[in-house]
Amino acid sequence: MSLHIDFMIAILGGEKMEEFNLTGATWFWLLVPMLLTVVLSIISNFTERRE
Amino acid sequence: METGVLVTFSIYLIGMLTIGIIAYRLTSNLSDYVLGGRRLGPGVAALSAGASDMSGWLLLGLPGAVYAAGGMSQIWLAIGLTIGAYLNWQFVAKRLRVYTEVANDSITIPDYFENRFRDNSRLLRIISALVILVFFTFYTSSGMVGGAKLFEASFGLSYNQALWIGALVIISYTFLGGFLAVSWTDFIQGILMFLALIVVPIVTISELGGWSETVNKVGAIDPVNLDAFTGMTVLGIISLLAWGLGYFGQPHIITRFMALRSTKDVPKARMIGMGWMVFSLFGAIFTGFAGIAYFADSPLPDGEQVFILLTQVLFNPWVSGILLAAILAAIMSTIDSQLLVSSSAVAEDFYKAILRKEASEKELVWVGRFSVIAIALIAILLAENPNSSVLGLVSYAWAGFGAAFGPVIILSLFWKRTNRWGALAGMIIGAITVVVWKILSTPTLNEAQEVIKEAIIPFQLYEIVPGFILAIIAIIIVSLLTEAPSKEIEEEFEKAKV
Repeated sequence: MSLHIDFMIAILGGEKMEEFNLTGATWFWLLVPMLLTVVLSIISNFTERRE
Repeated sequence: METGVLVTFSIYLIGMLTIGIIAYRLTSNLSDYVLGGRRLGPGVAALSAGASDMSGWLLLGLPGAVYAAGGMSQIWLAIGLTIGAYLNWQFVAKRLRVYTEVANDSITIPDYFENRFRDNSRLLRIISALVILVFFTFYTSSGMVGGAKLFEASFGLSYNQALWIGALVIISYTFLGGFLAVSWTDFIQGILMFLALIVVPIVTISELGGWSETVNKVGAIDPVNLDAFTGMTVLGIISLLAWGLGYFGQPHIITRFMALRSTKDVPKARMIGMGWMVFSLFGAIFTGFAGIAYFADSPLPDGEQVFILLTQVLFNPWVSGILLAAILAAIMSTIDSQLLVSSSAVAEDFYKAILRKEASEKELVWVGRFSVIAIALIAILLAENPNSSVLGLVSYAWAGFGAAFGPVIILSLFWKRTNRWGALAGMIIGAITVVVWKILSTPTLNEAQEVIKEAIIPFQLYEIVPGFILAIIAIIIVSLLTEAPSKEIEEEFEKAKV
């Protein structure tokens, strides 16, 4: 995940950079997996109904 | 006490009772009482599963935890629960619905275990039914404590008055209408919870000046409020994610799969269920999050009040009453499902299966009804002392069910070679591992809460992880070491494949 590589680099790059990437990674992990389950459910509702 | 709050609460409670009466007229046999006659549509099944799962924690505990310093670490719990619930819908729902019907029309989980494995010893049924009965009685009691405290705080009633009023409403509609009443009230309660969790954070964020303003304010108070990593270890994150493993074994949730009217409805139910769950969890998280900014000038001594206080400050009493009713709805929707699963264990798994096989359907329904009363009374008596240490047993319940039942459910549905000895071993090893692991992970404290003896297990890992893993290993090894299932069981397995 590029955000995590950024995080590793940011540790060397200074506090502000690290904070920014921790925040970015936090929002990513909060929003993406959970919304993905909703998206997958919506998609499979239509694909499985067609079956 | 505001008139608006009182009126909206009363309308809500009368509505629940009305549903109980309607369901009463549609309930004529034990399958109706325990499983709604397998007639649930996708919307009702989805919201009933969700509302039964999420209790007061969703509107009080989770916003409170996010509100507290470093609260963003709670997102791992929300992510884990979401993934677990999704996998449950994706893999377990359809197959469990079909297999429970194929396996002699099993209407409870213990019933399914016995029929699936042709367990003539009856051990699987008895042990699982006992575990359900004992733990759900405590769980129900714990829920009643939560409901009573809410009622007490909202209406200025005494704790005992609040306890009995709340309990009487739940008992009434559950007693009358069984599974149908419980599911339909769950459906309404689920809608109420969802609306509350969407409206409160949106209005709060709007009051704060919008999303960017809110994020900036929250970050300015302490950057750790925007950070789900600082202070967390890898094991800590895994432990929170692992809560999702609990779903496969929770009887009050997976019975909703069994009660679906058709497997064709599973994709739609899954979509509705996941939409409800994800946006409700987001709503709870952002309520706590926005609360940090909103109460920046006067921080709350008890973070769990953040949802309640926001409703009181930002909305008129009529709307506030509806939003408060959502908390009660969350608590009631969990209690009623747990109460019904316990009474189902009494009526189907003890009375019908063991005591009176020839009992008529009418007799069984009444046994179910009176079990609701009996179990509820025990739960109320336990709840009269809200600080009872007995209620602490609830903390074992999610992991206990998850590890004792989850692996057995999964392997029974997907691995033909699972046999009754493997299932029994899995159940016992899963449960024992959870209890032992938790005890060994807890340091001994003195009265001043100082550690006087370190825990034997030197790291913190949620006990469901070893419990689940060891249970799976036990099921596989013991099944392979003992006799293969009969041809009859294997044929039934093939028949149940979807």
